[in-house]
Amino acid sequence: MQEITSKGQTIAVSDVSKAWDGVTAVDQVSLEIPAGTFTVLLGPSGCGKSTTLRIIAGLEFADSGAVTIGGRDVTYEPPVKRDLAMVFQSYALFPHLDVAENILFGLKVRRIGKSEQAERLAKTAEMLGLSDYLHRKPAQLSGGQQQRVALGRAIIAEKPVCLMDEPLSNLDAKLRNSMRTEIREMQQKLGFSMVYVTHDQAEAITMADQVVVMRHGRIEQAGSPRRIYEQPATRFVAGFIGTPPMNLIAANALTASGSGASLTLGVRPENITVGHTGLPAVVEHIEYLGADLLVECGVGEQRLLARLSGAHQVQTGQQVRLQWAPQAMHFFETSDRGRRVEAPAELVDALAGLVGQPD
Amino acid sequence: MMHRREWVYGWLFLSPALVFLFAFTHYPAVKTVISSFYSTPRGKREAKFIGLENYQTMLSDDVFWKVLGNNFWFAVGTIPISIGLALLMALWVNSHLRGRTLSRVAFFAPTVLPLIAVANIWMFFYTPGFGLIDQLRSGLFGLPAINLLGNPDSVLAAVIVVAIWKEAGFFMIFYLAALQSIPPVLREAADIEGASRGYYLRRVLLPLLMPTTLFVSVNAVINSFRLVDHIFVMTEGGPDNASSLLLYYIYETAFQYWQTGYAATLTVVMLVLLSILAIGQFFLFDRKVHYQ
Ligand SMILES: Nc1ncnc2c1ncn2[C@@H]1O[C@H](COP(=O)(O)OP(=O)(O)OP(=O)(O)O)[C@@H](O)[C@H]1O
Ligand SMILES: [Mg+2]
Repeated sequence: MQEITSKGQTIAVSDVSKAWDGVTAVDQVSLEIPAGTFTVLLGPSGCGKSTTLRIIAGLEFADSGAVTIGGRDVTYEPPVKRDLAMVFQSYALFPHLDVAENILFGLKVRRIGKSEQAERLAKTAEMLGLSDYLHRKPAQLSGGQQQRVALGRAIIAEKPVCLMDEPLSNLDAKLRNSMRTEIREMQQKLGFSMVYVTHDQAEAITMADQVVVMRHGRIEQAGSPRRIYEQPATRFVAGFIGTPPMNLIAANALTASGSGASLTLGVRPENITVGHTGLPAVVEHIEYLGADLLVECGVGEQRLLARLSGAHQVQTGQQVRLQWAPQAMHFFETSDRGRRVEAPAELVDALAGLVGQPD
Repeated sequence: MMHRREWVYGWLFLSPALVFLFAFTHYPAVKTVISSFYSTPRGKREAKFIGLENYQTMLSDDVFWKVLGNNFWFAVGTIPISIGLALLMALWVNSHLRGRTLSRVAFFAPTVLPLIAVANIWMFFYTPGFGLIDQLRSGLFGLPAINLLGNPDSVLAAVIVVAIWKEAGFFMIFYLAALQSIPPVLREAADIEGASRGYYLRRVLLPLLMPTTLFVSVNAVINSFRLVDHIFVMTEGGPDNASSLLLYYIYETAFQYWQTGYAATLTVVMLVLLSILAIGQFFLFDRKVHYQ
């Protein structure tokens, strides 16, 4: 018997497009998923995440472009030939089969020997804590247990690639958090390549090696969670990542000279502090979150959200001065796709002079 | 403890249905059982209790045995084929084939038509000499005309074909509804695991269709005793009772020969037979049926 811990495989999606009746769901998407890593496709509803995943799975075929897995061109191959596993949002368990039969489904299709089936089933059930439920039907399980059965069916064959489409969206918040960790641990332990679809950025940030942010069928940015957060590549990513996301205002609204006319300034709420010097603002709305305080301030016509420590005492209507570090400023084109740009030095200096240094 | 008021309301709500059920189902059924132990009233002569005499007559009635045999072959001929065809057509119609709407309509049409109309269409097919079948036989192969409905050896088969044609489209609707309620994602999950079409059919679709199969086959069994409309139009049970079925024989006995006592006896036998078959099916299938 061969060594059963699988090695992940590289997945490459190049220039893939897919349209339905003229509506483009995926638009020239190119994506590299290194072997054994965890990649999350993230984006708002309808941005083409599921379609991209299904094209990788072979459940949908690209109109143009290519998909390779482990260096092998599989663009027009059916799912069987791609050697991968998949977990569906609805779990897709077979309602008439019990837990054991559901998990073993793929092995039975491939006529794996009885003793090996039993061995693998025991190991998988053990890992997922399903050993006591092997003879129950899916309808007799809780949502979390059904989820585990779906995971079990995906991992038992130890395929080199595993795809998941919003696998946790039907679970409550607490269970979702613990499953998140479990899935990540399992992926690292077994070493397969994972492509994981979600629209929950917390899930993406905590689990991924690589986050791929999509919008309107295109990739806005692909990179590590840290990079996505610290260096958003477009205005959309800046306004999508973070809770609450980055403040985005016209850069010329703050400068007296009106310079930076075609640029958008981005500052994260958590990078804003209040102090004795800095940008004068009026507190308009306060949301108390316990540890944190969300303060919405008016600066002229503009609104800026600041995330302060919960210990701060501020009242609505109060005059405050806002500060942030020069390196906390991000600049994006206002027009076009909102690409990240380097701002002219004098604009940065002008803004930095305005908000001063945090004291 | 239930309040008295609620109890009264409960019966009030039930009563309309109960009245109809008793008046048109339970009372006649009980009356039939009672009548089967009485002689047929004639003129001034009242029906009198004769015990099991009607049943003895029945056991020695050759026509009864012949008709029962016919009904057996009619059931054997129609049930498996119509269910199998229904399943095939439903799978066909449910898959993404071109002309799906057209085939749905085509398969369903026989169901919308009353059996009498269906029988008339088939009369045209079967008419010796210039019916469709003979036209094809002589036109394509130069064969002589045949009288399928006039020959005791072929008449039952001819009648069976009509029933299948009628029934399969009807059962297809149930299979189609069941197939459409099976989430397509199951097929995708099976695809990912590498299951072939055949494997998916055997291990997933057919088991999930089991409740429908049970329902359809109970109906098919009942229908094989109930469907006699086409016999009236096509053969009137002939020739030589070769196409007569139990219900048709009951009709003849009751409303042509006016032997109502004996007809009641035959009816009781039919009811008992149907109950045994239906209950038997439920027990037989029960272990294999998956209810969600
Ligand atoms: N089978 C289909 N036929 C027609 N249009 C489709 C089909 N599948 C997806 N689309 C369209 O393609 C676009 C992308 O859909 P997709 O399912 O990939 O979005 P998604 O990012 O997964 O969204 P969600 O987060 O809501 O699941 C949508 O506009 C959708 O309406
Ligand atoms: Mg989706």
